[in-house]
Amino acid sequence: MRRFLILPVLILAVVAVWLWGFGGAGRVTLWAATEQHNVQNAMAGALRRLRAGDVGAVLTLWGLCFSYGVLHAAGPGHGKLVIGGYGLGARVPALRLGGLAIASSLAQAATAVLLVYAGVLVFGLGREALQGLADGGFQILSNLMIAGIGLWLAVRGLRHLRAALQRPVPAAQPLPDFGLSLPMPHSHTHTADAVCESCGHAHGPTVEQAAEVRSLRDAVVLIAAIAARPCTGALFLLVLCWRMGIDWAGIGGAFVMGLGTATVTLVVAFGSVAFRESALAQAATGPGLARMLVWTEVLAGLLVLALATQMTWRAI
Amino acid sequence: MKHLLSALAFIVVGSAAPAHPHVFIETQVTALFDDQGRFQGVRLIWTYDDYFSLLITEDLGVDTDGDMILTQEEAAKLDGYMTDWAPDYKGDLLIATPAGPLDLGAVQDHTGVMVDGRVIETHTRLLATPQDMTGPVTVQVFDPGFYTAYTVVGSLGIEGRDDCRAVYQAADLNKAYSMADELLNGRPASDVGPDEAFPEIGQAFADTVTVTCAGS
Repeated sequence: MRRFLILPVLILAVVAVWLWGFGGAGRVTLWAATEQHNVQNAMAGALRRLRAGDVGAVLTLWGLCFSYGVLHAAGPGHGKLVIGGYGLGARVPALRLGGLAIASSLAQAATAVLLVYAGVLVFGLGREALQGLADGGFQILSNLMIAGIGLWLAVRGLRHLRAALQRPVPAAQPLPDFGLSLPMPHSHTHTADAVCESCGHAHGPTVEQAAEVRSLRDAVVLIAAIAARPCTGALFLLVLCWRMGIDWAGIGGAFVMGLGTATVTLVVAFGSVAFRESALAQAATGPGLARMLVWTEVLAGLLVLALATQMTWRAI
Repeated sequence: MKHLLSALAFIVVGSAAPAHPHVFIETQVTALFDDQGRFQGVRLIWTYDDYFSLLITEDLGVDTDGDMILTQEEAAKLDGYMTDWAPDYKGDLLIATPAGPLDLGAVQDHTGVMVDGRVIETHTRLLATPQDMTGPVTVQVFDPGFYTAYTVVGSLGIEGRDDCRAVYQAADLNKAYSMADELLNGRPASDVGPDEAFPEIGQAFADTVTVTCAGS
């Protein structure tokens, strides 16, 4: 079993070496930019046909929007930073992280729709003002939120580390869920439904309930941090369609773009979870694993914090 | 620890590097010489991509019938918009000798029209001081932030002298992107100003036109 678990680590190592060792990152970005140019021009054609009354052209347009979303996400971006960082830093199940990736991409599309329609309908803003907002205030807000996530991952990790140092986890204990199953100074035992065996009352939420609350809170913060920065491509499309009087084609297109973006973020999500689990499985079990988890959390948090701070700095 | 390092390398996939360009411009370049044979400046013809052209015309509310033909009034509106540069826009142009960049002067003969659905902006950019051709002069059109991607197209023009030639060297985009990834190291191309000598990331994406004359 362990022999198979190393596979994700190997695959990612090869990808990383290609990306940064052999200029692969440059090639991917170049390819994406060239394709994006072609897709954009094809979108112009589809939009012209739509305006001319060819309703079927909307399918062409939305197909192109999907490709645009995929291509746009092929480059570096904040969504992948957040999802990847969280996937490495917290022991989140792959499917839940995947769901977060899709939800955040769709929420990002929703922000673009809200921004454009609030801007044009309520404030009567033009394209340049909207773009200025997206590149200015919203970007800074998003980056600050991402920096906050990094800080929070790191602080949480450090708290776990302190707790682990104070009271080492015994080697025989099954995989600990940090933040929840740390040994608490509590004198009596509880059954699974959190009702105290010796006193018959519930002391608090069950482990499962606590986990749900935490992951719901995590989810809201992650999605908000990603969604706060709408993509310029979606803004362009929405403004164009609004001007052309085919608003529905633009709004649909923005969400299809979000789905396209989500495909790439999903790969990052599954990649980060697979990497974390496989690296952890390689590293150790028992107390070694415990320490490893905590350090991953701290370091992933600090890295997200550092990158987001950098992005904020340049946006100001 | 090695696992952790590679894990961190993985997150860096999401780190900052130059944004994708959103605007694509094909530029034609003509080198201009004055009557004393000095390098005077360039004439640039910029053809915007279909999508951005559509965005501009829709934004201005011209060609709303989509027949790609503008009324006189619409044409004037487009021309007015295209020739009104934002105060902080410097023209995305670098003219240099081996000794360094030359100061740019006035923008002249500035027009904006639409042909077959594409917006075409033409202008002449003079040097602040005409340059004696004692050596090669290079012309590059680029956006330091790489929001706009310029590509030199068509045959290179030379006006005012017939003993000069212009050579075109395409940017090595592959190398430019890789270099950007390495050099910027999280720093965006957009805050690397055109005046900054290093690391001139926007410039790495620029095609280069080199003009040489007899005796230079």
